[in-house]
Amino acid sequence: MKQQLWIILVLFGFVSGYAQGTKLKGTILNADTEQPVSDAVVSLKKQSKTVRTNHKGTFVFERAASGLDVVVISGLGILPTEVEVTIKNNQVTDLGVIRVKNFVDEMKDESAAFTFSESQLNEDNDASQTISALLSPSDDIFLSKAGYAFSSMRFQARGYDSQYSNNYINGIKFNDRENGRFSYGLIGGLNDATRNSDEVSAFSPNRFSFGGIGGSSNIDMRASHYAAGSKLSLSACNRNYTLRGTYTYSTGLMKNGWAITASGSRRWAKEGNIEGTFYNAWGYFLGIEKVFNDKHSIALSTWGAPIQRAQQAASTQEAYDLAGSNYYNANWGYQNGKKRNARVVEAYEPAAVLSWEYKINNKIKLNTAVSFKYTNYSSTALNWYNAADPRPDYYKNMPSAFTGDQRDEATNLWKNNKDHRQINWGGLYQANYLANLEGDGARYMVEARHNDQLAVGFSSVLNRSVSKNLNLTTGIEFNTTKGMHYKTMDDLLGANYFTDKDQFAERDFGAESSNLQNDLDNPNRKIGVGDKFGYNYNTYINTGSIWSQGEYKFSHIDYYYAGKIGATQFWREGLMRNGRAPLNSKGNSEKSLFFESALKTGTTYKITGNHFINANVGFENRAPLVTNSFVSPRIKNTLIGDLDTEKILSADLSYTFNISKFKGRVTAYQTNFYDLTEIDNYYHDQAKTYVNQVMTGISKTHRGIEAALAYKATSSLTFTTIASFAQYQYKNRPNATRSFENGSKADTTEVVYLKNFYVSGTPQTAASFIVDYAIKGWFFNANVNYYDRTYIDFMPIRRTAGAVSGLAGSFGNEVPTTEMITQKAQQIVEQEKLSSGFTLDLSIGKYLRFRNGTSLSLNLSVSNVLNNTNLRSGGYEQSRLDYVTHSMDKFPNKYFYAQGTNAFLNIGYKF
Amino acid sequence: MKTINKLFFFILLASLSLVSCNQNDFDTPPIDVPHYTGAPANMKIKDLKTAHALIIAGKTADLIKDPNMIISGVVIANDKSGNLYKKLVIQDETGAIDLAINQTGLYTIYPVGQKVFIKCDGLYIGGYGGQAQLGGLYNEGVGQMTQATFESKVALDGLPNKENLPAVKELAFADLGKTGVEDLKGTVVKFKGVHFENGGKDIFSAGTTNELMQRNLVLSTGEKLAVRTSSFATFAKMTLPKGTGDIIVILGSFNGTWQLTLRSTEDLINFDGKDVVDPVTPPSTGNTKTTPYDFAAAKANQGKMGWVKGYIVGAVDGITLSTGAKFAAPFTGLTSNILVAASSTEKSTANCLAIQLPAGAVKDALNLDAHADNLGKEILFYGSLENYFGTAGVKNVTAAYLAGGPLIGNEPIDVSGAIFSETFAAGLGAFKSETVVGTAAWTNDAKYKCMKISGQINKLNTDAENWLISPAIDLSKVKTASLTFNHAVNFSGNSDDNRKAACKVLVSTDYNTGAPSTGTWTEVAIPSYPTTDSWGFINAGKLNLPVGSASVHIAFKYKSTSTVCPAWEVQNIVVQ
Repeated sequence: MKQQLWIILVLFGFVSGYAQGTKLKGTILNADTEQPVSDAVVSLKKQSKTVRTNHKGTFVFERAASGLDVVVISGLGILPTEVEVTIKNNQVTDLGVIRVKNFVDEMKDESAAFTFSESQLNEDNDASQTISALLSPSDDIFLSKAGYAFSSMRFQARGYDSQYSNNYINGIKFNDRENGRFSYGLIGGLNDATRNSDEVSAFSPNRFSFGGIGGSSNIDMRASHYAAGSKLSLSACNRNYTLRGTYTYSTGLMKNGWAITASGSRRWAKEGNIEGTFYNAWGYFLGIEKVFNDKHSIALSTWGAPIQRAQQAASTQEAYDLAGSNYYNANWGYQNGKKRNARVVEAYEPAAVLSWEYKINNKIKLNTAVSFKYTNYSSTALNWYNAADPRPDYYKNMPSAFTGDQRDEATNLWKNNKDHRQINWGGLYQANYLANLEGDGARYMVEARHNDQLAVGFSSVLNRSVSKNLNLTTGIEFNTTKGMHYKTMDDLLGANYFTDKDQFAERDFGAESSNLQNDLDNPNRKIGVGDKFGYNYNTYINTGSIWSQGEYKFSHIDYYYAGKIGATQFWREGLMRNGRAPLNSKGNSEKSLFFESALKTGTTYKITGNHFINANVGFENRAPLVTNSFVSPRIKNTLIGDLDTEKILSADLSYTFNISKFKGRVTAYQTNFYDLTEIDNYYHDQAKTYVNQVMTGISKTHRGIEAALAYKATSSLTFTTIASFAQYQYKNRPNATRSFENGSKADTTEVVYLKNFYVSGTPQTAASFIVDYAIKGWFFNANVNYYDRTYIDFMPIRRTAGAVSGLAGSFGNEVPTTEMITQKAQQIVEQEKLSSGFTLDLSIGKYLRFRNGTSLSLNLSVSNVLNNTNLRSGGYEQSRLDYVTHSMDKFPNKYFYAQGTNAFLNIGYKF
Repeated sequence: MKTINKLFFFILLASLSLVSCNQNDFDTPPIDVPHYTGAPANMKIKDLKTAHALIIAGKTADLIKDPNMIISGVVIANDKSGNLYKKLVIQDETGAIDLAINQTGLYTIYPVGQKVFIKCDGLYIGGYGGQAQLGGLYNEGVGQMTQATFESKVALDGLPNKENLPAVKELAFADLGKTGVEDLKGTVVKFKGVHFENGGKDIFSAGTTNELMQRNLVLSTGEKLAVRTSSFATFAKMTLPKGTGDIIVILGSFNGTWQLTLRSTEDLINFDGKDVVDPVTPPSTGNTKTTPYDFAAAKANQGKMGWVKGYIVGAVDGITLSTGAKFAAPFTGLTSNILVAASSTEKSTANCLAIQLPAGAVKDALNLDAHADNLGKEILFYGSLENYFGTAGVKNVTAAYLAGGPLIGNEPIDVSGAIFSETFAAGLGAFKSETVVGTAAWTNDAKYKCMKISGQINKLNTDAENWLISPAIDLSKVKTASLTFNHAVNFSGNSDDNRKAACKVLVSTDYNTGAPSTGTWTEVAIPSYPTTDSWGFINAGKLNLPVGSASVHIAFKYKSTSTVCPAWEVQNIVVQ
């Protein structure tokens, strides 16, 4: 291994060099109070060096590399600040006094990033266990403001799925290799412990990774990088949870070279803002670091955040209107007088990173880390066998399913009888008791669907400052992941057992057919609580890559290039022999191997010190995700036929300026995706079974303009406007393969007419006007946010030839005109645009620093002050389609609403 | 300082631990043993049915307005196996009635053996094919009530218990003609010593959409009764039991025809798995046009095809012979049947055969509504001798001579000298149905004894192409050969062009098996298509076939589009 590294070293022209006696120092004062700021973290951007200020606010870099650099100052309660500096060779460069502002945005971090949409998850989508928090590089006005201002509308920068953002912890990538996404549940509640974060936008070169089009972040959880002392924060809010407490204690780097940091967190709600949801989460972090000498330090960081939370369901507008609230939740019902939610997520992902920092000399640094993560994730849901659908908002229970007097009767029940629109747990138990009397198995049950995962990673990054103009970084990454997917019986609801067979196959093949068996080796097995059933399979993913990057900096021009090559291998291992695919379900699937590569380059031209033009272009060739690669992963080993690597071609062009009181950026960007794969899983009404529909060969284009302008009216008053206008679209007609889980029909492939459909899940127009005012330790902030052009998550099945054929027969006895048929076809294929909306957010904070060195911060932020409860934050189409009338009214779209007025109060005490 | 730190930490932990919450804390609810405390039942099911007998026999429904009317009964059948759909049957000591409820999974709340009380006020009573039913209003008739309505009317009493169930009455075929059989309608009855036709071979019900399939149950006395099974029943794809045994079924009737419904395969008792020797059938007195059956012979030869001679004496209005027989004009609306007896003045139903008139020429010429003067005339006709209106009868009459007049309909084809023949009366025989486009397929219609196809699926016209292909026919040893058959075309928009476009006959000498495209086919024009859209069969005329080949395949090629989508029925194919 070492030998290989040295070969790479030689390849990239590392030559040893050493500077003597080059120092940099300065003193940091609070701009409002003129008091020294102690324990601020000061780092040199190009040199990966970090020091802390002492009680006088003074910092010293003893051995700095000469040349142009940027001093980055951050710390509790202060605004991150950057100062450009030219460090003189073999001299002491003194920056003098640097005044920094109090930081008001901290409370936004506290309140926004991890809470906004955790309960608003698409119930059928396992992948959405991860939520997306926007990476917010603090040096970018647009992204740093967008992260907070647009959070309630699930804004995604440039419309990218979060799988295109790379999230590192202590230098090692923690994205889930199965679905590509970073699970924020991994670090849930550990806001203080994960505060030290290096976040970079799309193309910016960084010293820990090749980067990704969605940006990259590296959370630093090394124990010595925390300020010594304690921090206690208590929060109250009316969101998913109502109370939060966090306590963090760090020894700082002690004289014996050890540093220990520990943090604990608790988040809780008996009932969240959505009725019938609860929240019960813990979090811990323990970091131990030993600095052996100037060259070596080893750090162990371990953390976990066990959580149990209940979910909200999206419903149709009909249900919301009848229930009298856009926050109606169909997932719960009373059981013995208590609210019980059928959909409960339990997750616990203990993780650890062991990292070794080796400063080979003043110019060469090697960071090596190994990581471990074990994910326990389960999500419960009601299931039933040969019984009526127990979900209160099932379409056949809605008034719209009836006509005449029966509709009035159903409307009356829905409106005036709350029990009628919630789950009747007592009825489900009674049905099971009666089943017991007949010797039958459960009619109703609660099952838990598990997505567990074991992941081990290795990463090593070598950084070399070749000259004052050139910096080279090269790294290797390996990861091996085993995903474990199965169902267990969570609650039999009073029944004696459940028989493991597929009721959807029963209708098509008869009760005696082996097709019914989920586990053919154990036919008709009787399942008890805790037993695995239904499906049980593992996925294995091995990935490896090597990357290298060169950064050149000159007085008028900077440029960089980077390249990456790698490979990904994956396969499925079935642990049950499924009756629908007896020869193709148990054991290992074919192993798929994909070679990956990526290239990027960019340049910044400094017209003057205050005007910059920046251009970047990149290409990436990545393996498809394993979750999108199997036709019917719960059943069988069959891979999608024309599986290919994804290709991404991306470019952007920016103009950045900084003229006296104005600061801003305008960026135009375009990213083309080719050969993407997407999978949908849904219940098919005609075939009466679950169906997996995989689209392959998808092309998409994301393009748009981002703009930000900040006007600093006075030293304490800043006005900022940010805006994003974009177009994220599908650009071709991909093929979709449909696989019927009950095996009643052969897998079929058809064309999906998707050209120019919009990518869902994020507003394609968003703007915000922000006022920040800070004076004498007080902070005031107001945001007015505008969103538009959010498109609904569409079902591919409605855009197939089959969905719009035979329309002439769907008008009853009427003979339709061509116009009527065209209009009906239009209704079927149309993608709904959610209506636009405004929100107003206000926040206020006070920061107090006491003579004994302790400090107190108080923050209150109120979002959606105008209580706009009609703002749809997202939605999706139902998979059902009425093939007789072809009316879209029978299975209308389901929506989520952004929360009305909500507040977050946080008290932080540092001592 | 450190002590304070620790103190804070523990206070935090302790305070937050107190607000713990666990989803698994939920108590298990106790079993609910319902106990009915309301007023006792004051109406017997039989009396309820009798009070609304005319409505039940018709197509409308009565709203029950008596605010105090309560019936009670025990659930004897439900939707557990899927053979009944959105339906419960309850029975008291006087009779049974169907409850139609717009809900699936009813059996989970109303298992067999559950005693219920029902407040009838506000419910509708009517008949479905003459079978009494309580429910809601649907198109002026009785339909499903909502579950909410049902729940507001029904009260459970105690837990379900099989001991609540009434004794199962044992029946013989003769009992079906006796008075009092009305009271057994809807109840669960037992027939002993029965066997299924094709037991051990056929399955209960094919198909994947909700459709009923009829299987013949042969009673110990040799008569056949229809067992109808939904393709949604859990046992639909199971094989009919082999051998002889006992069966418990729901005794139902639909427009005068008995039909039996199986609740579950537990009701098939002691089938012995042995090959069945059909009981000796009564001897025939004659079976040709010149020596037709008389009344007594027709009654004794039920289950056969044949010619019958007698006099038209009346018609049946309603669903039972005993209440609906009319022997004098007016016969308004009575177009679908006639009564035939040995004497032209016969007035006793016991001496009459009930004759079903299928749509088309036979019905048009014979029915008494249009031709009251047919009363008393002599008639000679050909059809299928089978049970109708619960009595001996003749169905599917295809040919008739009225008072020595000209032929009405088509005479049965003499196949004694044929090279090849297939009636399609009992299935598609050696023919094969090959789908080229779409999902429409040739299916056998046991009732009308033909193969039929339509591109209309779920009320939608679809693009379809399907070929009904004969086995190889050896025409190498004959000098000439011709094909004749009967067919009917409906829903063509009354367009000759559409009929000709959709329904064709083709011949191939090189086709072997599999997709039609593997052979070379030549169209042979069909001389006669029906001239009006109806289910009435006509003779297609004579189609000349190529000779000389030892392997000639004949294909009935059906092709529909979203605009041209007729239904085509074909029967009685003869090559001679």
